[in-house]
Amino acid sequence: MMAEKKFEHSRNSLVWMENITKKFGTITALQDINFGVEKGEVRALLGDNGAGKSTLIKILMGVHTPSSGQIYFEGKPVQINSPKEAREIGIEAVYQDLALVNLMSISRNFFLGREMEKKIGPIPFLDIRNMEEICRNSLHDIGIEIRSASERVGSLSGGERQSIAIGRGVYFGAKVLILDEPTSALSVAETRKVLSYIENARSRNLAVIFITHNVHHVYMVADSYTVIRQGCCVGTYFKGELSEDDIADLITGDREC
Amino acid sequence: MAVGGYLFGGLAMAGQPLLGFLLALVVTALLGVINGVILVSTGIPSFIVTLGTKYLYRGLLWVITAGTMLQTVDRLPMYNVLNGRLEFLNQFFKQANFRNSLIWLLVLVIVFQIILSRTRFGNHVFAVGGNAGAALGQGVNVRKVKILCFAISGLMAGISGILLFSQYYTVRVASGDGMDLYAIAAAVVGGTLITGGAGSIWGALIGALIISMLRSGVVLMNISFIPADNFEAIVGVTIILAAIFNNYLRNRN
Repeated sequence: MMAEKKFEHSRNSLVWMENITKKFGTITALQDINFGVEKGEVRALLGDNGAGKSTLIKILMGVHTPSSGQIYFEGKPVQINSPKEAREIGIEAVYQDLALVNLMSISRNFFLGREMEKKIGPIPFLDIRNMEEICRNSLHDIGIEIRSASERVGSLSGGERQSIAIGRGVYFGAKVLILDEPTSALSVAETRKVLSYIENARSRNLAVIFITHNVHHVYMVADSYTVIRQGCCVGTYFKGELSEDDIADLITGDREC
Repeated sequence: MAVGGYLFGGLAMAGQPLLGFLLALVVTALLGVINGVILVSTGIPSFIVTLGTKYLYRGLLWVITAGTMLQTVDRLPMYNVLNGRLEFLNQFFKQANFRNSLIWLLVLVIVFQIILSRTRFGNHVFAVGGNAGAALGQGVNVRKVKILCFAISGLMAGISGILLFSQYYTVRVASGDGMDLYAIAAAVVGGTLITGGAGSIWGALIGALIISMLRSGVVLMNISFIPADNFEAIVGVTIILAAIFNNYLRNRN
């Protein structure tokens, strides 16, 4: 099944999740999943609603611990116990609704949890001017233009919000960027823009995991596709091996591999 | 508020005003921490938590004090420092009664406005109020922020109890009852979003001023169909109008 294409996944990949099984009580959410991503690769994680995509990613982010299986990061076995730990080793997730605080400004969101401070006397204050400048410049570097870093996130479009969350991950040195349905609520033009930011992240040698149930959103940009259905890995395919329709059939189960 | 008043008043009457002052601050902050811990460990809405503990704390106070009110005729210098008459302001106005609490108010407003808008903790307060999930995702310790907010809230109630006793030399179990809703009203009138994530200390100050002015104004105007006891009706109308207006302002930018 593994082809001789560009990205071979093994324990030496940037991320390798081996034989991951997750049980919630008597329900098996995931069964022996192997999944990995390499630097400079966009990996699509496809599956219908409830197939287990989110569970798999939550295991990688340290929200859930797997019932069995092992995660390897940069070739070494790791145990990730919380989203904070995931972030510390360089795994950054962009969730659809849980990425940004709409009532706060762009720069405050950008630096949330990693605020820059300057001391006036013994007391640390927020270095707002510096944060706004760095925020604007670093977003500009990856091709995202904003009107003002002090603008509230709530007044931005869905695509702009996604781009800011992506830009934040890139700026703070993420090695793996996990995008959860980044394009599902966007217009065609905005989708195209967000895809261009993803390509930009790939060209910076980041690993991108693109989670979606809609193969059309990811077909053009992904280097490889992993399809899961009802908690089981249907298969992993590389660019050009299968058509969009073939993959869609694999997601729904209309076609067996 | 009553807890702060009793602790300060009781110990001051026993000759330990400074100890009473510190203990009142510590205990009220701790009661706030308990509120916060209940909130983060049960996940029930904060309004319900504080509504419950408000009755509980007052009940405990009633048991401990046997319901007796404290009253003193001593004029300790500490009372004067905390909430004596501000003569240098009063001399300009006939029958004015400005008190030191005005200074404490302004100091606290400035300090907390700076904390809220210019520090990491303030940033986290807005983030937790606006989208706790996003804050958690970015590594903000949501539980800690919530508990700290409740501790500050308890502390401020304690300070108000101390100031109240310093001014009137008396405290009852029911002291400050009903002030909680005025506090919420002041915050809402001043632009605080009841759903969280937006607001300011300046705004709350202005809200408190508007409500207090209405109270005095309604009494002084002596409107026949609005007796002084009924000024709540005016507050009610103000809250709704202010909320509509704030909504309008918020949607406009």
